[in-house]
Amino acid sequence: MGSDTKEYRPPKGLICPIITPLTDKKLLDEASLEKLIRHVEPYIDAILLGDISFGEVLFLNSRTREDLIARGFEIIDGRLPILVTITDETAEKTNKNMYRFESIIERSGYTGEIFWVDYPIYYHSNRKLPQFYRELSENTKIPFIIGNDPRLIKNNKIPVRHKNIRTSIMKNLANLESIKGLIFSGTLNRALNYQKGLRDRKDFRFYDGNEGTFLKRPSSSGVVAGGANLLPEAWRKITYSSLNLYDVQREYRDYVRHIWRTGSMLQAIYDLYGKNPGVVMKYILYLAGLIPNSVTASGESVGPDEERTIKAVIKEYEIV
Amino acid sequence: MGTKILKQAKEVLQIEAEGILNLVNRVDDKFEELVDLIYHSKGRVILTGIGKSGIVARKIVATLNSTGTPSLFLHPVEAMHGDLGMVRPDDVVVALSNSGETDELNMLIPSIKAIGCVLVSFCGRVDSTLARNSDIVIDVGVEREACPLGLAPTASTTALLAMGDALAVSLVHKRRFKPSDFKRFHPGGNLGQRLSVRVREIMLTGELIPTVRAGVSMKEVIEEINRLQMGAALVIDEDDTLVGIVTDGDIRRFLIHSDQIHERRVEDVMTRNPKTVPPNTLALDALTMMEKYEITILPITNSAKRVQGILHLHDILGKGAFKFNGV
Repeated sequence: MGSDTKEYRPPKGLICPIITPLTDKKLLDEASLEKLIRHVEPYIDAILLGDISFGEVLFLNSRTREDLIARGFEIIDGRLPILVTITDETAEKTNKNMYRFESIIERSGYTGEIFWVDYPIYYHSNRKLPQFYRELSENTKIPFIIGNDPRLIKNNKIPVRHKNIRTSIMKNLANLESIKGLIFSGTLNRALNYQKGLRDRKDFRFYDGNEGTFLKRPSSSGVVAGGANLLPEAWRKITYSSLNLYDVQREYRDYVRHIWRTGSMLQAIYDLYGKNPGVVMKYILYLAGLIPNSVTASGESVGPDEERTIKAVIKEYEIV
Repeated sequence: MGTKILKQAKEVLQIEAEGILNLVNRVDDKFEELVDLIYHSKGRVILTGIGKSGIVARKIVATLNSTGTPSLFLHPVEAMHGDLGMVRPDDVVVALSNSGETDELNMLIPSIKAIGCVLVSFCGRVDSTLARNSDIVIDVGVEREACPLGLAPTASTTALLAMGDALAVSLVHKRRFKPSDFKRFHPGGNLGQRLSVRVREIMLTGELIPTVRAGVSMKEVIEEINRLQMGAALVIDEDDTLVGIVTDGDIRRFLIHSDQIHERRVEDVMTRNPKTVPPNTLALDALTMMEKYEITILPITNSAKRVQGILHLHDILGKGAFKFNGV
């Protein structure tokens, strides 16, 4: 870790991976970004800029990616912890992103809490991964939250041997002070094995990267929920309820019915975007009037059947 | 459908088991400090909590009480309406809260501090208000709950309960809790029932008492011990007054120094003035005496020291099935 590394405590609770609103020319739509951040800000505990799934960051050109970070930091202005994805197609590009983004942040004079988010298995094998992070940590003041998501690797053009960080490697990674948490997607067995490996790190955060998993069996660190772009208040309610189980029930007269209804709605919406988060969420946000178009970085759009299903579900829950 | 239910059930058990296993590494010198504190405390352990934590607190109170640690439950709301009066400066207050931000509980903190008690918290968040204001914090946080939508705490309540058991059992070991202590706190239990009777109801009497007269040879003593298979014989004088006891142990100890035991008189081998109890003694107290002096045979005498009966440890514990202390 760099000598001046910031000793932030990683956030707990609801982390929103904000979508990247684009203009027709696929440049950052700054006004929509600000509108969206203002929409979610009162309800979330941290924001994730440039998420791979919801932020479509791997499809953005480097200028748009830099603009997203620069503008995002200006809008948030220290009010929330910010997580920034640095992952790219190769280790070199990821390393380069980290340098570029850090210099943008330094130039902005930003003093709030920042964490790098990186999904290493997307571009790096398990072999020598701890060494890679040791070297990476030497060159940054910002701590890391690493990600594990086999769904991302499935879509990777470059063939990789493993879709997950191996448990023994995770244990070694957790020995690095610069790594503060994990955004986890995967099977329950793997989650439990990782937890065993992470037992020695009391301050380590273990976020659910899969919203569906959090709704079924919530992690006590919190969730990275793209659904919060659309329904931040409902996500807030479920996250708060899940993390404050002992105290929250007394706050509602009909708590169980309330939470069950909210949770069922979030699950139904998640079922719409779970398989193609960036594209579907953008379309829903467009229908909800939160962004002016549904332009995606990849150029992909929802098909007619999907459109009909989405419209029916959001009508059922009176989202539009 | 069946498979899905089984899968879900197994997942819940897996998550809860992991929650407890994660606590194993978190038990540190703070826990030892807590056990020491309660062990040396002259007061009681007062547990407090609300909602599910309150229910768990009540169970921990029951476990502590039945294992010899005086304990009370204090409802945080009732505490603010007068029940705080039950708290004394030498009590140890243990507050249970997963979030550590429960208003009713945190409102108590200044009052507990003012009384002068040590405040301990069993808390899922070590950076919470409750934890920051506690003298000792026991981390009971779990990584994951097993219930969908956070409808009910699951793994976290299990973890709380398990930590309470860890505390109670640690205190049992620290106090060297014995079967007689168990009786004191479980008068309704099977062992408890056996220990609540008077000695006269379970002692052996008449021909069943292995007795020899003073002055007889050890050969006769050994024959008497063999006859009744109690591992001892009582030595009485001509007035039937108890003057000593010869046990297997006395014989073994004598044989180490001399193998000429048969010709010896009983007075050369016996233990004079053995421990005795009167017939109206509680079996519990007889057992306590046996534990204290590490003996298994107790002569029962009246106030004139005349033998009324004899009691073996097995007669108290029942059929010799229960062993303790290696005696």
